[in-house]
Amino acid sequence: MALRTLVTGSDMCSAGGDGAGPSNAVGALVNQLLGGAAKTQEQLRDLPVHHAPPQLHQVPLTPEAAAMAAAAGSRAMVLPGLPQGAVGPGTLDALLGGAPRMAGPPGADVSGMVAEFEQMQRAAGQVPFGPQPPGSGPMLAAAPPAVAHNLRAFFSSAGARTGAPQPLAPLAPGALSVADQCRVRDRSTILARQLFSEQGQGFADAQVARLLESLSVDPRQLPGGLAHVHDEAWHGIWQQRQQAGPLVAADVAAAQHAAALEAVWREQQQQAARPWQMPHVPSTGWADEFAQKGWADEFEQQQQQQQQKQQPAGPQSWAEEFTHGEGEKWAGEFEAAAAETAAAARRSAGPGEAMAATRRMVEVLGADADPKMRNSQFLQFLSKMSRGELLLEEGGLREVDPAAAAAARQWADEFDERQQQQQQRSAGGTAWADDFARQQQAPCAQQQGQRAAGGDWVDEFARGVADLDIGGDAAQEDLDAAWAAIGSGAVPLAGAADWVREFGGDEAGAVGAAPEEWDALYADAQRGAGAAASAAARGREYAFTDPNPFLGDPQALAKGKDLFRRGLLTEAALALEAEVRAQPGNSEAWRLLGTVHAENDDDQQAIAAMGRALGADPSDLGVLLSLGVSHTNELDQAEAVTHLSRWLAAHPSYAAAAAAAGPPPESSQVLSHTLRTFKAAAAAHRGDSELLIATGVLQHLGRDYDGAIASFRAALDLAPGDYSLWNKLGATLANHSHSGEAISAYQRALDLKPNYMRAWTNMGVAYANVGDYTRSAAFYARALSLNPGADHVWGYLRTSLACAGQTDMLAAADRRDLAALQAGLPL
Amino acid sequence: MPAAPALFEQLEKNLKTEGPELVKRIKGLVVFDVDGTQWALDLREGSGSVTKGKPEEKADLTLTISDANFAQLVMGKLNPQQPAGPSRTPPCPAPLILIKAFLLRKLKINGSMGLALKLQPILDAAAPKAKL
Repeated sequence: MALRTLVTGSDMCSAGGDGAGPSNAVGALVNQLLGGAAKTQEQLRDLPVHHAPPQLHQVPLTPEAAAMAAAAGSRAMVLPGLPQGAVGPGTLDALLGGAPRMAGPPGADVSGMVAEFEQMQRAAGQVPFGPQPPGSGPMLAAAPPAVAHNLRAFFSSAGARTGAPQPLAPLAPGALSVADQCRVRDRSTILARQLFSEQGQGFADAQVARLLESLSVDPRQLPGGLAHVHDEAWHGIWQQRQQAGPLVAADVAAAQHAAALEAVWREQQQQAARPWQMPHVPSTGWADEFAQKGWADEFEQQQQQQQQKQQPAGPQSWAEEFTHGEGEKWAGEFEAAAAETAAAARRSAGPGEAMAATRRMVEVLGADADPKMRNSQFLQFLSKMSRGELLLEEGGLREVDPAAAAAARQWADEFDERQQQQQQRSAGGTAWADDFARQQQAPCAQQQGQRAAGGDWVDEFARGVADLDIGGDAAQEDLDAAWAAIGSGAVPLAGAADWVREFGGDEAGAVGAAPEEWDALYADAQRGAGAAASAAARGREYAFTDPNPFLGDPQALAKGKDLFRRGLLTEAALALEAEVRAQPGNSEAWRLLGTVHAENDDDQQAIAAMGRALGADPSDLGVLLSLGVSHTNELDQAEAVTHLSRWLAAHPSYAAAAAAAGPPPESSQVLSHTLRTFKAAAAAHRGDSELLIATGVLQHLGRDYDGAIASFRAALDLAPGDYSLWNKLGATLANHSHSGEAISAYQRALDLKPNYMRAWTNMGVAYANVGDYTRSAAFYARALSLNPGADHVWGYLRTSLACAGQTDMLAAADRRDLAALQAGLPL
Repeated sequence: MPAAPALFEQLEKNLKTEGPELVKRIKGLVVFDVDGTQWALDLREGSGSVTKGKPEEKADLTLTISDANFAQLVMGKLNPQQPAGPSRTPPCPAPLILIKAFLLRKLKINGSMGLALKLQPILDAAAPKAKL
């Protein structure tokens, strides 16, 4: 039986498990490391050498000696009179103990067994001087150095495998207690039989005999019955498992099994520490006897019995599940990932970076309070990576697990199938989109021809839209893809909205279809198209909302202003849109419309509206400043700086300063140059809140958040009633990781303007940043009640709800049920 | 509306300023498969790009995750289901959140693990940001 069998579970099981479920990195790692007999040493090297205190490094850490270095590591940590290592024994125990407790992945059992195995090895080197009463906790006494040395030598000969045995230093008799001697004997035997499995049992036993001789342990004086105690325990546990009935969940069973194994091990430990309670059966030729009725053999027998019985709930079934179900999948996944890692580390000379990263991870993971993370095997994997010792062989790692590959293929097939179904379902929409894309890419002449046939096209479009289930994700996906295709087309699109207008203008020549209807269809389609569409249309023309009850209302501007004053931003936008559609040159209406959109947290529309306002009045200071702000929010640095520079140059008080500063010396210094100019102007002209705001925006843009905060605070001293300024201060604080302070600034803004949708949204962001996701969601819901069209806020709402674990509210968010959301998320 | 589109939108905006740096660090084509919808994050040259849909080329790394878990990943909150108690686990430090998600089987990584460990700045860039 190979070591792999012991560690990873049986390799002799038949198929079982449902195969569904994710993979197990740990199990795969073990598989990897124990891939062959030669890999055994690697596994030994895996032991937590890295936790050892400094003096350990005097021990040459040859691969052969690593096993004992590890054992010595745990021992040396508790050597009296020596400073403890950075990682105390408790930590190490917790780490190792954490592994079997790991619930969830079936591979947890494996790690549990590995941990046991480690403990076994540790214990072998951690032999105390005398027997201890049961329950006295970890054995802290140190073993004589010779024990460690001899064990090390013992294992190093295992590493050499064929080499000449190393000399073993004799140890004075009586240095080890009977229990310890038993333990050394038993564990060495088991280990030796694994390590020397190729040389045969006789060779292994001979090695053990040699070792024991060097330790002055006379096997003939030792009790031989320890094994049966273990067998009873194993029997009991397995019986229990068999009676436990069928598996409810593989994970649960796996975790229980791991715990059971741990319990058995603990019992075994205690038994070993109580020699006086054990039947002392003097025997001669213990090795033979042990070979006949040793527990290792019985363990195998047990396993075979289990296999014959095929108990569904037994450990066998667990093993099957692991081996044939999720385990392999995990294994494949992890192996592939690990192979990539190793390959990447080699090829990109990124090993330094990778090592540094992993080292940090090891540090933090080691301190992580989550028991699931305190997985010694994984930590070791990482620590090996961090030490650059992870040199996995490419050939071996390139192996793709057949189960994983099959799963991937299945997934791909499913995906394709679903795609095809979707395509069939919304063939109309896709076809239309294709047509649309082709039309756009067609030469001008053809486009003219197409436009002449506008009536057909409209019909086709209408059909396509009708066929589409806009609400359904499937159709949406296709539409999105279509939009993305359009957006990525090489032809410089005038923008879909622009095209709409073009078509609308041509409508006289086209048949039927009222432009309003068409617009409505378009708007619907656009709403369904989602992010890809908005990305395609970004930074372009203003998108009007339809239907608009204010269309044709001569009082639209007055009503819009009134609605804006009353804080009804979405309605105000409609009224103002009606106004600018009637009077496209009305810069005041455009500017107000831009302001409304900014307060409604829609910078793209704000930019589009402000752009039109600027077209009507190129030197409108308010518009230039607003554009600077909105472009900053959109992270369009060049645009933001341009507009703020224009603001300074157009300002009667600062035009001279702007002219004196001149253009930036080179393009890379535009921001710093502009900022210098602004600061110079601010120093010369105190008392202008607008200048301070513009300076603060530039500083925010350049990520000088402290400077921006100072500028905004100074501006607030001059204009404490400016709600948007309070919001700017809050947003800068939040982006500077001061979300707590930001909340009070936003609160000031909301006190001044209760329907300031942007501030409500920012509140949600701030509460999410401080980890109060429920409250964050409540603020998002409130913001959405003011502007239900803010798709990104719906996304943020879902984000916070997911973090808060609010499943009910997630369902309400799916329905866009604002009433339920506000009721369920009170502020 | 799922959370991912809004988060990728924010990420896309951030690429305009942080893109070149992210490209320098990552140099790869990363695909997020969020509840079956794929988002291609091309960080191979320039300032990178985010596009919805499966990329034509082979991804260096594919991360498969649910929308809710993606949201938690971005917010740095991906702790095992713990009942609300006195010891509320603080948000996981970067880049542990990725490993944690992987180990908790909330994140499936297909491709370069080394690349996956470098993704924390991407997650940060996708988080909602306050607006002036």
